[in-house]
Amino acid sequence: MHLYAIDSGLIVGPCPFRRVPSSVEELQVLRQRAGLWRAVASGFRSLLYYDPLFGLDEDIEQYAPLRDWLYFYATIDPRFPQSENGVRRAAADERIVGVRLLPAVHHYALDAPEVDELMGAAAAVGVPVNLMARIIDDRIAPRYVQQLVPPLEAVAEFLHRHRQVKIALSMFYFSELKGLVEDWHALPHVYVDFGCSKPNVTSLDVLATYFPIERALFGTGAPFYYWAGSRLGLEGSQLNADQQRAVLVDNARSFFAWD
Amino acid sequence: MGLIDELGAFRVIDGHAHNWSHFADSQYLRTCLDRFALQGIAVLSNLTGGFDPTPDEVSQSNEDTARLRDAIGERILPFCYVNAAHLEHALGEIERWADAGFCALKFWVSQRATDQRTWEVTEAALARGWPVLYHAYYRTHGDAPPHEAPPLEIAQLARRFPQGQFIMAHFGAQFEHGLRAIEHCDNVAVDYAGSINEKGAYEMALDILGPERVLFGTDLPGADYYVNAGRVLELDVDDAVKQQLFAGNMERILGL
Repeated sequence: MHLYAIDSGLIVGPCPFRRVPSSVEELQVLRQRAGLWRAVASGFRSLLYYDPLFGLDEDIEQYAPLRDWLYFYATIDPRFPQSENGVRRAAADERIVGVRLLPAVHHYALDAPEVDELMGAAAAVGVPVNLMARIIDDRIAPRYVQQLVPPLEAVAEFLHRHRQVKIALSMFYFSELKGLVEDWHALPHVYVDFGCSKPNVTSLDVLATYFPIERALFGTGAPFYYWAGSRLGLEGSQLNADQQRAVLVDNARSFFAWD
Repeated sequence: MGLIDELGAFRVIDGHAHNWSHFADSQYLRTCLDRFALQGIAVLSNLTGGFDPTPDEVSQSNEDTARLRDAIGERILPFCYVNAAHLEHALGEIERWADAGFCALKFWVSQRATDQRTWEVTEAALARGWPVLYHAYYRTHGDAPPHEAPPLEIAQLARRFPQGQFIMAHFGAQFEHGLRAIEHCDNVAVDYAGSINEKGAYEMALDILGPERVLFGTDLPGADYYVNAGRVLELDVDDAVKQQLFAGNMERILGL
């Protein structure tokens, strides 16, 4: 298959809940099947370790053979000591393309002073930030995983407050996104990843009527989640071919500065 | 070849959909059936009345289903919706809609599967030769509807009626739990309809239940058709197995 697409949200590595097919060889197969030119991943280790950067180091080491196409977010807990190292790493390491915040798991408020400091540091070095709503469907996460998805008002306020940073929202659902922001056009620094967002029968068809398509990304959460459903959802939508290509390729090139 | 082309090679029946929201509009539903090239779609109810519908609300739901079938034709596979807590009414609905060409029974969340009234309603449906589709959810967080049945109750019900055919919806939500619960009940098939999208669900279902017990459904219009269909396309199995899931098994169960 022609390798052209960009998946902006793989979830890889050893999963503590079940086996996820993400060995180096399995990700190579996924790449071919999904036609991925590049992908950006988070490993379960970086999402769930006490020290996310330790987890990131292990992810980068395990997937070194895929370095020509697989990149990573540096997940950072802003209240963890020396968290500013994560921003520096993201700016300096060519395999890291951004910072990821996961308040649902690390349990902090988006208006905490540490978050402001981190966003300031990201702005200073020009690193984009991904705000991940959750890892697992809230209804069926293991009982010992208490995901506290930030209130939507707090997310909206966060987006308005940090206009100096390119921000991508991911793992938010359409039901949340629809009412999150009144006018998405007024927030030109905000991208949204719609690849793993639980669309209904019309969600993708009408997306372009309220959301600027040039800022839509597509991360499937594979191989923890099925990728082909998300892709087929995009292919089958009433977005035109140019819009689909923008979502699948061009917008991510812009967000990750891969132009 | 894109995934759309791959999908086009299969005959597809959606075994789990509802006629609420956008699908209350028969014209829109007809357009979707054409656009998705669906051979048939099981219409389970519009869920009028929420978690505990009154008899009038249940009747209204079934009448809406019948109107949709009359407007669109035989691609609509009408399921009879009941609230077994209103036992006499539920039995009456089965009688009424069996005569009107409905083809299966749908339980949602208004009765436990271990309730005596559920057994009586189930018995009446099975006597008509209907399969029984039962919403089942194993929730690890949040408050469940008070009478929602978890997968282990579906197993109990299926063992009580070994001659009956049951369909456990949504793989029971948390798929490892749900599939293990009904693994040894050969008369329980399953669908993964809806927005839960965890890789491994279909693979485990095929592994422990076999391809004859796995159905395709979407939970339209609350979920996306293509997102659901793509999960089946992604499976590393022969096209013949995918065809079984997409349509063959439902054709067998409904006698189409």
